[in-house]
Amino acid sequence: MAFINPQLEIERLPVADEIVMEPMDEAYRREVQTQQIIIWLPLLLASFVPFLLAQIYFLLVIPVIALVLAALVSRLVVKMAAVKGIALRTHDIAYQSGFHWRKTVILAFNRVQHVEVSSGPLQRKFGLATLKFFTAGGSSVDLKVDGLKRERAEQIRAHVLNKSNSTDFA
Amino acid sequence: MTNTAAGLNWQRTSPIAVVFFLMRTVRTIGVNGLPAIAVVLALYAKSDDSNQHLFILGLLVLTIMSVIGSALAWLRFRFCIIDERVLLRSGVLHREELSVEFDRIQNISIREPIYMRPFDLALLSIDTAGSSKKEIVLAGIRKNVAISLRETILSKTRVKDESDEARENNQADPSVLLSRSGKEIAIYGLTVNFIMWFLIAIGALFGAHDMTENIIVWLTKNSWIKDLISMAQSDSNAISNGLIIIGLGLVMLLLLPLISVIGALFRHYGYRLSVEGETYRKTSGLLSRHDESIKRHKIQALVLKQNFIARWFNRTNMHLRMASAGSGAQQGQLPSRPGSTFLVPALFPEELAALISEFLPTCELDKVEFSSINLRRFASIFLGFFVLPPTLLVTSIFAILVSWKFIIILPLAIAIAWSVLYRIWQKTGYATVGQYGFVRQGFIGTRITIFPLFKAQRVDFRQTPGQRRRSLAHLTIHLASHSLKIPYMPATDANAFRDLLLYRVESSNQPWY
Repeated sequence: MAFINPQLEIERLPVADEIVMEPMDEAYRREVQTQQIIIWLPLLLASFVPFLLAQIYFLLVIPVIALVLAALVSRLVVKMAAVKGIALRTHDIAYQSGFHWRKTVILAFNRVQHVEVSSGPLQRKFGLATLKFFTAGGSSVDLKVDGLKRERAEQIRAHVLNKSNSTDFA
Repeated sequence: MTNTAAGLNWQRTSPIAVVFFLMRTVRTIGVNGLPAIAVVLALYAKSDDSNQHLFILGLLVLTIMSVIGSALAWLRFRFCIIDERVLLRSGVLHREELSVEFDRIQNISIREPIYMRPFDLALLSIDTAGSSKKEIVLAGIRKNVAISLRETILSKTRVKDESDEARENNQADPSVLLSRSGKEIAIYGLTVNFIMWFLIAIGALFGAHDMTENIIVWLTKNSWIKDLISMAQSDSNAISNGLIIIGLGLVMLLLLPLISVIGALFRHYGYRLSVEGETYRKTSGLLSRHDESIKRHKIQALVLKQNFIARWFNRTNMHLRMASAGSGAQQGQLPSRPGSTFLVPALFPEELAALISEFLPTCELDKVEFSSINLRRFASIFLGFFVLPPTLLVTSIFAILVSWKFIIILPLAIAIAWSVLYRIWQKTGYATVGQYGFVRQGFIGTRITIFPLFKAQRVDFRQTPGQRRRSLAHLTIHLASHSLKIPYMPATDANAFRDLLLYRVESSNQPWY
């Protein structure tokens, strides 16, 4: 095979910055909200215990603080869920996350070693799943996408595996 | 699973391998239990004679247990070569069965440790890529078996990809690319790990005062040192004791480079790099012979390292990096095992240039012009978040409590921090030329990573709101061997780098591994 090395026109390369991210499923927002309620409700209830035991009004400060904290944290978590986005291009998958530190990960299909779809009890209740992609080198998950409908996750997995095989070193 | 069926020709290694397992156990204990060992040693030094028997007994029990454990490990260890795969059974308590296809093997090395040489035995290490696999070591097989096994494995890894030309070359004699004399290896020994042994020496001098004391107590039990100290103590005052401590520290400072040089000589003496087709092979070692092989297409990146001692000698050390399980993203630059890097030590600039184009054809480092990251943002973030708050806190506490003159420390600390950051900024750079990406990092030394763009695994692009306003970004490139982070890049450059990288990855149908 002759070695060819054509010059590239940098301006004509596909631009990853122009990818339009598709937001996560609406059910994901509800799942995150439910998750936050499950986490914070027992804590809020528990924060009343000192007041109930001692009957000192000053101790009502604790539930107030807990409530403010719960509101702030869960608002942030829900916002973080809202900015997540995913996009499939012909040869790669892009995933955007992070409310403050916005991060975009792009993974080419022909570098995917294997794909995993998993779902926890709460996710199953909302019909959601988590999609995990693994590449070489890293020992941990390389790309983890939460908040996809189970069917969509399966579709993407099938698509990616199909692509990673078809572009595989013929 | 037909593999596990009986009838396979499972083989044991030679009983000499018990020594290998024993050494591995000792090393594991040494590495994991270093703090505990230090404590035990200190306790031993402090305890009286009656208690010292207990220590010796404990040591004896530990030794016997290690020997029995190693013998069991050898008994359980079996391997089998079948259908272009290596099968392995091992483990005493936690039993394990492993199967590795020849195609997945990244690099093979043969070692002849000194205790195996008289028996004509060798140690074959196989390094694989993949998320859950690890290095396989066949210890104590006949040397000729090891060599023929290596030939078999190397000849079967993707023969189909080799062009006719390469195959023709395969039959040609191996040609020597590089050989290093003892002097050059000694230079390498001086240049490697400089920072590390410097820090150890500093730590011994200032940090671990208590430990120094314990060491001295322990040393006093040895007769000749006792004489020395009693000689020093004939003046018997605190100054002489202090002098002994400082003297020991200085001895360590001089000793550590010596240890480094001796270590390098043991490991790399008689270094010879040869090429046969597209297989590179290096042999080295004073007592144990090391024989490592790697194929050109397995190279994920070249890392060129030059610290200030190396620059003084006008040398560069080159590391070929291979795909390795568990050495990716989080762990950054350091390989998890020595198995995942292939060393080419102490190169002169012209040798370096020749070898770069040998390992990465069409790669021209001298044509590279590195672009800089954004100095203002990089320095102000580091100064503002990591330098200013703690120094402000400390100086204001001292200024209020002791004397206002402590305010002077503040501009001084900031000036030092600034010059450090400026230096790091000067060293940080990135470029792409042709098929290759270049990333330069460093503070005192310089580290340049060259990688074929198409071998990248994944790329991350990160921005804070502040960076978005200023059009800056962090770009992280994940290779199969390690990850590279370029901070505070102009966003346009980061985007262009990413687009080019993805284009190369996605348009190439060359295998990356």
